[in-house]
Amino acid sequence: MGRIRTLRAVWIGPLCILLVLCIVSVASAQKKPAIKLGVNLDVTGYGAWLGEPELRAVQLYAEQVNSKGGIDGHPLELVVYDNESNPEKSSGNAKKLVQRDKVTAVIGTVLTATSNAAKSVAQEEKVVMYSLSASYDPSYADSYTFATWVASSGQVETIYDYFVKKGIKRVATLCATDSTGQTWLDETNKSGKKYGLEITSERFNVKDVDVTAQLAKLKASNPQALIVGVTGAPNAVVAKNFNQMGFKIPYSSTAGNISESFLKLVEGNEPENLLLPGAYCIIWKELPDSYPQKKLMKEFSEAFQKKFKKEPDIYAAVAYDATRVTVEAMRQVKPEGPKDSPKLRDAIEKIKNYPAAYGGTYTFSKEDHRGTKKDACVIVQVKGGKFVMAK
Amino acid sequence: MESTHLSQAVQFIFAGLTSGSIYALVALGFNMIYNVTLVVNLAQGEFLMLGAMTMISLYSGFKLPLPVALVLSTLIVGCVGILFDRFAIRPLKKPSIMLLILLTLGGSTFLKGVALLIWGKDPYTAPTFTKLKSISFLGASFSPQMLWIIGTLVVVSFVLWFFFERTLLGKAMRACAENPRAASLMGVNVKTFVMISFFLGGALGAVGGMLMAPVSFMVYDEGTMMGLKGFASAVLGGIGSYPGAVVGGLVLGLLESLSTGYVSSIFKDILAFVVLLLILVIKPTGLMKRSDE
Repeated sequence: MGRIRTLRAVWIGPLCILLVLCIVSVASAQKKPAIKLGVNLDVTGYGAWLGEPELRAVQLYAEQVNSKGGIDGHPLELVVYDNESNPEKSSGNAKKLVQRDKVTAVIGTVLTATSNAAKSVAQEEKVVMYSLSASYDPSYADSYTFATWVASSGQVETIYDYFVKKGIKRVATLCATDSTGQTWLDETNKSGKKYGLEITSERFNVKDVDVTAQLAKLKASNPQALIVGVTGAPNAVVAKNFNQMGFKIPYSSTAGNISESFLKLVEGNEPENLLLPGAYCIIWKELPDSYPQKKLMKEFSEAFQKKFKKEPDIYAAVAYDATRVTVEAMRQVKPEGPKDSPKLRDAIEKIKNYPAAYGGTYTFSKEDHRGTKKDACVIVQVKGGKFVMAK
Repeated sequence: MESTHLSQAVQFIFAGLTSGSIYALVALGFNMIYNVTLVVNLAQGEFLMLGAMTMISLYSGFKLPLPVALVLSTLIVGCVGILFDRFAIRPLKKPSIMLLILLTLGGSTFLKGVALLIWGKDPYTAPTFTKLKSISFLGASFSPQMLWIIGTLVVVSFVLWFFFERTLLGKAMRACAENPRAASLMGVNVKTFVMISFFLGGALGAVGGMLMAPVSFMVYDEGTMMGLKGFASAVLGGIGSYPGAVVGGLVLGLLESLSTGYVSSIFKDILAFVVLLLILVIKPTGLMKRSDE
């Protein structure tokens, strides 16, 4: 017995030393400590169909960064939490990411409600949060939050520009009672006045199984076009009812509906004249080679397709952009943890004319934390199951 | 102008009857299980979701003919109901009502999790049962699925009435509900009837879900809200009463659509529930239940 024990000790001692050496050498091979980037996305729940492609895009970019030597030798480490499209979980996740995981910045969230919930954490902890919501407003005094993609107001204006071109004067809006719907109601009314349009509006709940009552009410005002202020599956309910009631007028909605899953949901029932405010990244193939961002859009689209066997949508592109902008700032700051986040914010505010994978550019300032203009916005329509530029 | 008002009213009423019929089917499922076990089954909405999802898989995925897919999914979800009873309810040594209700809440989360694993997070939809695009009636136009939904509720109500009033099985089941101890002394196996009630509860939920899927969409967590609306309908009609479930569901659906149409769509849910509360304050036992019961 005693002999066996000593024998074992003889073996175990060197083994332990070897193991420790291995760990040390692996650690030193990594050279520099990782820079942590938090990801707080709506991967399940109501925002899932945006959150999932967005998470993929973030992971894709992190992989690309690390395969090219990281951020000046520092590997980029993602810490990913799902907030289940739940505002409470969203702020909980943001807290966990900053306090426990010590991330320097947080990418997320997708929905306006979850972004608003995480905002207070970003402000209290002074940590950069990069929302992917078009309806969230990141431009306020001493803001630590950014947001990507053209704001709802820009999307609404893109739609109205198109309507005015087509001679449309009376517009009906049907907006959800959630925060996206509220933003769309406000924006459509505000811009409607500017464009001299006659607006009638109704509301609906995202859990409604039938909105024919609202549509019947709107029909009374004899509208020439309908704008539906909701993103996701509830839009399919509206589209189906719209079709069943025999409406033939143009049907528009938020850019969030530009996705294959939406087309699948309304298959056989799609409004004849479905017009959505998109961005050049959707129709990059139609653009001339001279367009400055075409190469970037092409590379992103191909890399995404290669990895996930699926074409990226706008939201994947803007999630990719948000990560690119954050990493770009990280290259300058080389943050060690949440304490360097104020420096990171200042670095992002200095980024100008940065080419975007959605098709436009980013130019940030202290006052503008979104940094986009509606220049890369374009109305798209469905043709043969694909989105193409609307005529 | 008169005709626009008429066609609007018709549209509101049909919209209300459509949602109302689905609420009623969920409410019937609630009562089915409540009457035999006194358990408020909080997983009723998940039965609806499972019914719709299974039907979509069988029809769109396995390419089964629609009637086969409908019948099979009803049976499958009915069996899920039986399994629910067998593995969650029956093993309890000392069942208290509170514990049972908590168990159904756990079951609801469990079923949602299972559905998430099977179908993922994507919303699904099904084609309408008839290929017709839309039907016009008095200037209002609506989906042919609406007729299926309302028609099914009528048929289901009749079948249930026949079952409980005219068949021995149904009468025995009512006996279990009235007094389980006396029923078992009379030779009725109460445990079997609990099982049957869970089967029927599951099947009714599934029917509601399958009818709803073509007009809207279905996603793994969509059942919860419908479960709540169904529960509100059951309470409104008088919990435990089958005619009450039908009336409660239709009243709730109509309240929602008429308040949308004639008051404001933003106050729809509030108005519907305020009226619901008022009715219950005036008549706490619900619309269709006598207060001496």
